[in-house]
This record gives sequence, C-alpha cells and structure tokens, in this order.
Amino acid sequence: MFGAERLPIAAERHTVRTADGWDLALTHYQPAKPIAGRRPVLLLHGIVTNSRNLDLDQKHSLLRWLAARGVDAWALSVRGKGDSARPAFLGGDKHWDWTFDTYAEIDVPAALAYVRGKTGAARVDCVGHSLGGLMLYAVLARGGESAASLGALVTLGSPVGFRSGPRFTAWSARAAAIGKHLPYVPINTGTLALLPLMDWYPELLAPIFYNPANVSGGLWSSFLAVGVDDEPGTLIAQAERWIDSDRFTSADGKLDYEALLSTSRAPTLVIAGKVDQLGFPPLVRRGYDALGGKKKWWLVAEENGASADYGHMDLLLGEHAPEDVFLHLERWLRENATLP
Amino acid sequence: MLLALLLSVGELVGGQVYLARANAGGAEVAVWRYVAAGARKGPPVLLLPELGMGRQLFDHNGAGLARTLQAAGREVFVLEWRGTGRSSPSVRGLGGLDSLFDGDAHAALRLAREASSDGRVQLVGVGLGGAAAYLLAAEPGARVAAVVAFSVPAVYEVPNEAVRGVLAAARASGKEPSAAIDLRAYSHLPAPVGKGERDLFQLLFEYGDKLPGGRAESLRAALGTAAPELLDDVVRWMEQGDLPRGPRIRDALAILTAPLLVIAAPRDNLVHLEHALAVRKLAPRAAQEEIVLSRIEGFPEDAGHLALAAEWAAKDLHPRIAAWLAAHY
Repeated sequence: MFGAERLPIAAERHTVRTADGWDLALTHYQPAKPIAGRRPVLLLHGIVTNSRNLDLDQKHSLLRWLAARGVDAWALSVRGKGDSARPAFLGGDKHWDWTFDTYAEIDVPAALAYVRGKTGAARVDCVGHSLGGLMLYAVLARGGESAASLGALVTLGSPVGFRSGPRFTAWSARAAAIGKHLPYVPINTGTLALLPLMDWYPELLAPIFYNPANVSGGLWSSFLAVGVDDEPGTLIAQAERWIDSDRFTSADGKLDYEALLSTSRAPTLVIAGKVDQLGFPPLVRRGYDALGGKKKWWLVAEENGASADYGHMDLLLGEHAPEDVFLHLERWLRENATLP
Repeated sequence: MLLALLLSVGELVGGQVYLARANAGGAEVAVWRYVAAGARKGPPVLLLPELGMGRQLFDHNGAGLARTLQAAGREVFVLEWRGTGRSSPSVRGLGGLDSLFDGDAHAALRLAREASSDGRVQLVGVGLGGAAAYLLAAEPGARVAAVVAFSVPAVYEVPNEAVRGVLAAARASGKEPSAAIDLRAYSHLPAPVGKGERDLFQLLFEYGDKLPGGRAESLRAALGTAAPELLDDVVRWMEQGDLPRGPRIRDALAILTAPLLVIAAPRDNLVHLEHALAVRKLAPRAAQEEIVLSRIEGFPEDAGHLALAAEWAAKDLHPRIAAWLAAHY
C-alpha cells in the first residue's frame, strides 16, 4: 500500500565525497538525445526530503522529464538524506551537527564540481525546490568558484523570509523551538507513523503541503514512504533564528544572504505556487526582489494558465506539473543556455 | 425638524441608513451613511469599495461589514464611486483613477470628517478602493486614525497576465467615443483561462469564495460602468508597478504612520497575495497586523477577492475587523 517504484535501470548512481568526508549520492540520467550546447542540470531537494522528491516514479519525475528532453540531468541528496551518508544511530564519526550553511558551503559545491568534472561543462544549470532553492541563493551569496560555476537557475517555492500567516508562523516557531533541542528531528519515523492518517484524511494536513486538487490518490503516501528524511536539531535552530529575525542569514549571523543576492548575475526564474503555505508567495517574492541580474517571476495559478492553483509539493509531484511547471522552467533554461 | 435632518444627512433609506450626495469635481457621488446604533464609539469609518462595485459589498439586504460596524456603535460611511450605484454615470475624460481618487474619495472623506467630533476618521478599503485609502491616509493633516486594507495592491504588476488581458480587452470593447464600459455586461463574457465554464466575474471576483445564494449575482448586478481611461490607468498601473499619474502608492506608504490591518486572500485572482503583502516592506513606519484568509489560518476556505461578502465572513471576519478598529481609535 505504501511504497514507491524502484528507480529504473537507466538511473545511474554516483557518489561524491565531500571535503569533510561525507559520501553524497547523486542520481543521473543520460539525456535521451543530447542537445549540443546545453549545460547539465543539477536538481536540489528541499528540507526533510531527498532526491526522490525530484524522481519519484516514471510519471512524477522532473529529473527524468528533463533527461527525456535532451538534458544531462542530475539530482543530489545532501548529507543525511536518501542514499547519502548519515550518522549512525550509535557511535561513529558522523554526527547530527550540521547547519543549513553546510549544504551551501560543502555539499552543493561538491556536487557542482563533480558534475562539471564528469560532463566537462564550465557551468551547471540548477533547479532548487524549497530549501534547495535557498541553497542556491546561499551559494550565490557566498560567491567564489561555486557561484561562478552556476549557469541558469530556477527556484521553486523557496521563501526568503519566514513569516507567512500569523497562525502558521506561530506554529512554525513553536515547532522549531522544540526541534532545536533534539539531536535530530525524526521526521522519517513520525511520517511513517502518520502515513495512514495522511492518506485517509488528506483534508486535515494536505493544505500545508499541497493542493489536493493536483495530487492523485495514493501518490502522497508513495512519496512519504521513500522521500522523507530527518534533519539535525542544529539546522532547526538556524531555522528558528530565521523565523525570529525574519532574516535569511548564515548560522553565525554574519552573512545576510538576502542582501547579498543583489550581487547575483545568474539568470534566475523564481516560481511560486499560488496557495503554497511553505513557500508562501510573498516570501518567495522576496527572493525575486532581492536578486540582481536577469530574473523572471512566475506564479503557478489558474488565472495564469495553469490547470489549478499550486501548493508546495505539487510543484514537483502534481499530476499536471509537467505542463504547468516543468515546461516553464525548461524554457527558461533553454532560453538562457547560450549565456557565457 | 425632519426637514433639517434630511438637509444635513441626506435621504432616509431605512434601518438608520441615509443617502447623501457630494460634489466630487465633475461628478456627484453617493455616500451612504449608517447612523451608529446607540451611543457613538470612536471616529466615523469610511468604507471604500472595489472600483466598479457598489455598497452591496458591505451591505447585502441588511447584513455585512457596514451593518456590523453600525451595530457596534460606529458611524459608517460608504462611498459609491462614480459610475456605480446611485452616483452619477462615468463620463469619458472624467473617469480616470485620478478623478476617482482625488474627487470621489476626497468628497466622501469630507462628509465622514464632518461627522467626526475631532476630525479623525478610520478607513476600510477593498482592492483598488484600498489604494485610495493608502493615498488618503498619507496626505498631510489627513487625521486618519487607522486603515484596514482588504486585498489592496501595494504593488501591482504584469505577471497577473489574465487580469491585464481582461482589462485591456474591456478597454477595447468601449468602441463608441463617448461610451462608458458596462462592467456588468462585460462580466458575463467567458473567462480566457482556467478550468470549466467560468465567466469573467467568476474568475476575477467570485473565485474561491463561498457566497450565499444570490449574493454573487447581487454583487454582479451592482457592477457599474467605467470610463475607458479608468481601465487604461489600471493596465498602466500593472505595467509600471504604480499609479500612472498623481501621487504614487509607494511614496504614500513610505510616509504612512496610521496603523494598518492588512487582509490578504490566497485565492484572490485580482490582487495576488504577494502584491497585497508587499506593504510589509513598503510601509516601515506603520504598525501592521495581518490576517491571511486561508484554511491554515483557521478560516473555512482559502478565500478570494469577495471574502468580505462570503457566508462565513459575518462570523469569522467582520467582528475581527470591528474589534481591530475599536482598538485603534
């Protein structure tokens, strides 16, 4: 009842070792018919998820959809997620002690360097969903070689700012205040326990995560069975500071990522779902407003031609996401493929 | 005695509601006055509807925000923009946003202020009517005690392609040189985007709202006319990000100090959430509170542009607005 398809044979598994010794898993699909001049694309998942968010099954996979259109497509699971290394339950030399900055400073740069090395490309296009988009913003803000290696970018439901509606903000702050005291937040275990509830009473919890009008029955439980992972309390503590201050900063508070986005020159498409609670459109819009360089804003909404208004997870897993979302982002990457 | 009362407050309509008329520079606008029930509490409240709409947005057969405020002891004024309700018709050349904001809104404000013991007023604006509230509240010596902004675009822009397309097409439909555009007739045209058999009114206004039987059609029936330049102005507003003429909303918000209650609706197809909540950053000197009309925030639905008239609003929204206004005299 609860499970997802195994990845197909065409899915290549790659492993990249980070500078601090973590093995990270990359899923790779060769392009069906490679298009000359197109850069490879690296996809980044969001908080408490892994790369299956981007590659759930044949029908719900941005990764395979891009490969089928001639793009050399890669998806990363950051540390502690999916098939990447994670701390042992007891002992071991790896611990639940990283922050969001670790993803932007170590994991994403390692993946970018690996993809460049494997493909020979000078730059890599990137698509980040939710926290994955924030990782891209932080890489841009931090500058240096990794930022310079970014091609065209797309962020999906990535909020730069952490106050949505008053009630939801209060809930988030309360959850973060509790979560930061735990060594890690056992999202995976909790989710598995809640699976039947989510399936039987989608109206109860769905509005937080997706618009039920866009997600087919059973898909959500398939995703939860393979696509959800734990996060360390240290990262949750950073998120709590973001909520308290309503500022998108490094863990030590010294880097104001939002302010530094003005230095970006990577062409960026910023996509928001109209009824997204986690990527609240006004907060996603803040990222767009902060960006320097060429940029475009796109709200996935019925009145803008989509089949329905979009929530958070349905930006990737919606039944009509290929027409409503993927086509837009692929067009952006294609239109910006010839930039230096 | 009765004659003196009529001369001072206008025509008695019933239910302690009077209709007054005010000269608005090229137009005579209707301003409905709801006399406070019992002892008056606080300054008068001026309600500014969405452009093209009449007072039905605030008072449908004796129920609505105007009545809630009246029952709470507030003296309430409701403007009907030129071209709507009992105001004079729209006339080409005298119906742009500047005419409405400078003429109609000021005329209504004067009437409300005359009823104030100390010259202060509170404003409630819906949609583009709320933009007028922002401008009024930022004027020197405005004495606006508080503003409730319901789905008001602090910025407005082109990515809402459907709205721009609808407005531009409506503009093009005004073929006769002297003709005003009949918004009610236009509202029946099929929507250019979206699922199902939906017309323009349903796409732009009714979307996402649980309106009681007959309420939507009553609001549609109350749609007025618009001078072609009004739609031109709104399209240019979306293209330029701010008002095409006169004071700019950004400038007004930058100096605004009146407390704001910002209400935003996630399924509003006319004014997107990010456009309404842009006020967070643009009005740094104003104390702000927010209500987001979503299920997550405890409302019965993810609401749209007409949530003030929705079935649940009488219980879940109007009392909250009244309480906030009472706390911000």
